[in-house]
Amino acid sequence: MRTPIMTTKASNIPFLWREYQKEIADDHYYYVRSCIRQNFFPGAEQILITLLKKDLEIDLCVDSEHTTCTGIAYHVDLVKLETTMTVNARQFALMTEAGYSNFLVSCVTSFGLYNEVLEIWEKHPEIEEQVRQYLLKATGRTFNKPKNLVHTSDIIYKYKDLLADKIRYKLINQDTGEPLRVIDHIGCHYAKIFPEKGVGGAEYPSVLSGTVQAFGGRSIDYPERRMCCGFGFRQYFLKSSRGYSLSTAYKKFKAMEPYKPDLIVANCPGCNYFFDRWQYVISELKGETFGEEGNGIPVLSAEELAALCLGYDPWEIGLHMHQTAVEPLLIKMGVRFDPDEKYRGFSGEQLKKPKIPELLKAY
Amino acid sequence: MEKLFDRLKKDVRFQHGLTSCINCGTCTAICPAAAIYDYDPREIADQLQVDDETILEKLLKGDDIWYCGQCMSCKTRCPRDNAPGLLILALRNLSIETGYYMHSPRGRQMYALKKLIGETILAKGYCVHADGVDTTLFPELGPIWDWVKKNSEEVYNCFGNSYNRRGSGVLRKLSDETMHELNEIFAVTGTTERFNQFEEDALEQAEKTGIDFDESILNEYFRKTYENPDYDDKSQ
Amino acid sequence: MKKMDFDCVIVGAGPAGLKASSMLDAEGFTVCLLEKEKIPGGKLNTWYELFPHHESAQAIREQMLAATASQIFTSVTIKSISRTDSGFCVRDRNEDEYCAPALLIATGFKPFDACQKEEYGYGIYENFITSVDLEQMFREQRLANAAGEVPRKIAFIHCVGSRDIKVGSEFCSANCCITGIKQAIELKKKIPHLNIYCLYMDLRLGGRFFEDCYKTSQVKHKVQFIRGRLSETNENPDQTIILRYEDTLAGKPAKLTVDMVVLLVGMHPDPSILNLLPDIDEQVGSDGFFGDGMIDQEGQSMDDGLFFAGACTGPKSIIQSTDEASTVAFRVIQYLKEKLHTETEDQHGKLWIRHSG
Repeated sequence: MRTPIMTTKASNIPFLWREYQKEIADDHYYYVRSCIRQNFFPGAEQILITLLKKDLEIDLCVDSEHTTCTGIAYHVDLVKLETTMTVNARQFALMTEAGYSNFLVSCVTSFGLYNEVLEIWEKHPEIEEQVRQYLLKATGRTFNKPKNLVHTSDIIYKYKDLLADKIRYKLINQDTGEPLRVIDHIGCHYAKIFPEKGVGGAEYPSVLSGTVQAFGGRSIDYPERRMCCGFGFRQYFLKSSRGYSLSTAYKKFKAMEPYKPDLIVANCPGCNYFFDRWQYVISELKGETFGEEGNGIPVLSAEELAALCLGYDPWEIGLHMHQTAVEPLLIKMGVRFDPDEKYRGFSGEQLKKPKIPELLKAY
Repeated sequence: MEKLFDRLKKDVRFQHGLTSCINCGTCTAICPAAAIYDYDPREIADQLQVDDETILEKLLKGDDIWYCGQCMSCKTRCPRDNAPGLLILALRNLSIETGYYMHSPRGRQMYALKKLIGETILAKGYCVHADGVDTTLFPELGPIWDWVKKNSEEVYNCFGNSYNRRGSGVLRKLSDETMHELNEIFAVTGTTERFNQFEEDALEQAEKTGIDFDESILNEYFRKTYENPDYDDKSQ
Repeated sequence: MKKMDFDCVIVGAGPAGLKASSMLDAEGFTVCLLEKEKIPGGKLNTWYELFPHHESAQAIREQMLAATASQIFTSVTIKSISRTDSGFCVRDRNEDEYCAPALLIATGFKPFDACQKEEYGYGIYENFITSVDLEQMFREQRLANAAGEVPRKIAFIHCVGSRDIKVGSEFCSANCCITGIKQAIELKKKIPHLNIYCLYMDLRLGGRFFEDCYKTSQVKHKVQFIRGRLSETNENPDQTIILRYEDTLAGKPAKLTVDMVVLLVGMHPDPSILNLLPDIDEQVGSDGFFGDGMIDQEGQSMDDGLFFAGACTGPKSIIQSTDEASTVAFRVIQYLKEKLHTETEDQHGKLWIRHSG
């Protein structure tokens, strides 16, 4: 599928990517989880389910039998393309079996991968047929392709104005009355592979900045805005090349520092993880912190941001599992929270607190 | 013997990754790997424009193809619609299939990835699982992770109450049937065989370089490939 | 609401239209030019100095206007063009009709809208201008950045909107490289201490004396040429611009900070005429311009009275436009003579017989 061409032959109106809107279905979604988000920010996924079902009254299928999309394994060259495609086909088969045709994806790498696979099948029907054969042979399943495939940040974007009417806390500094300065970071695989799959295209995607603005905040441009967070897949997982990941993220932090952001919002769970953890590492390695007074810059996902603004308890959202403390942000926004409830476990037991890093403040 | 280039051309990622390169450098300009490593995606694309078996074999055996971080920023900008990031996937795939990946220390790290991620998928159904990652392997996880690990039941059950059990909350245990299906897919599509290849090639390399090797995940050979794949480089 | 008859109606009073009209005049034919802008001259009204010899665009414009005796109608908005038994009728917004057996389309080109190349920051960051904007600044004798200061470092970016599949235009506009070099020389003449960097993929300098300009820019004016296509721009807090490119000759990615960036925008087809004459759609080439670029024109039918000349048939310089206009004017003359068998007195006093058409 060719991307929308910039001008048609007979049209005088130039096409601007940043005004591009894509189709996002209203309702009836089959939800697939993210490997990284489940492990490191499980609250984000659970609160999204609550938010969609309760606040937006969306019919959401949260099924127990879907697996990884193998995105990470694919991009580290572990699994063959045929395997990835067949695992993805199995996910679609589960969606079909559950009676859905809209597919909601938590992870951005997955989102890029599903789109890539669908594109391959579109251009090479014989490959799609072969995958159907593989799936049938391995599992006995058949599938329909999803009619609409979107990322969780897309849904929040779609309903940003509706949510903005309901939010309890705006993205405003309670002391100064000023909009919060927000760095919105879009995962590479959201729009760089297929700009037509991203709201606003690849250069100025608005899926997060639109939501930030609707909630009263201000998105900040800075010189390294479009740079990858540095995940690098194999470069991160292997210790020998991990410096690549850290260095790339460090460049971004140094570039955003003069703009004094209050918050980083990212839609890819990998990016969330790296922005959250590398601040800790940089503080230990180089003695630098990027927030005010030894704090880091809090990092949230679109789900966490929406839930926080709506008034859900920060610990219910899982913000206690972040290494970079979110309390400075909570205080700025005037969010009411109970510090004593932060480390309470599922059973109700008050758990012993985690160790505090040497330099980066934690609470 | 099928020519390397003919094999490469069968990969859809090669077909979609290279139309023609005019060496403008737009890809390399914003490549995060090019900024850090002595790596140039433009050169990868340019080298593949002529059907030269010698050049291709050198690429498949070399380190160059293992630097890419798969961000795909190159694909967004190329004025000729090429995608070095896709070419890299096709090259790495062929490098593995031919066994040439074992010529490159960075290529040999596939074994470490197989242990870390590949085995997790087949055991748990996810690429990454909390039970398998800790601050020994990944110190950047931070003190918060040590706390999570220590209190994993108490922490994870807050979010869907299915930690390592049947259910639909986070880190739920997938059913035996699902795990069976997943393993079958891997077998039918050839990745199980590839995983075995990684093990066999690794064993051979470990024996050749006198490193301990067994089936455990954190064996000595794993540690070497994970931390310092150049361990056998006499010049170091 | 008037109906006027001519032998040939020319849409567009730019260099091609003006040249064609002057030739048709000389043969004694009645011609009118329909111009959408307030004044005739086409892009000659936009340029300041013309390559390669820095001739005054104003002077050339005046010369071309003086050479034609045809009626020029300005501020014309064409509402419709219809074919009749005897040729064409062009109707404008005021319901005036201009009818003729021959219709010459000389609508020219439109510069690429650099807003579309979002990663380049035009219309987003302050210190970006296009080559067209720069000409305007030359005309107004106003050379300053957004803060009103004289710049110290300027970059010219080649191939903006050309040779780029991502904006839907894969052709080379052929005249931007020389435009950039010409403008760089003009800038250096006015601001001798200015550092100028030209970021290019290839230097396309095929016209006569173009290579001389290039050499002059290097030797006399020390303009620096960097072989690397601009990938992305970012803005510093002080509004200087960071350019990201690869120095392909060195094989290394690089960044360059400058005060101002000039985008050398390509020559794009102007599709507005297509809305008025939809059946000429098949005359549009794959690049959006009229014609097929073939040398062999034997098979080309002249029976229908429709002609194209100038930049609307492909990116070209002013000389190329007027050259093509002359050739096409000759074909129009042949056509009119065949169709009309008209008695007219040409410039040499020779008589031709007119049969009513």
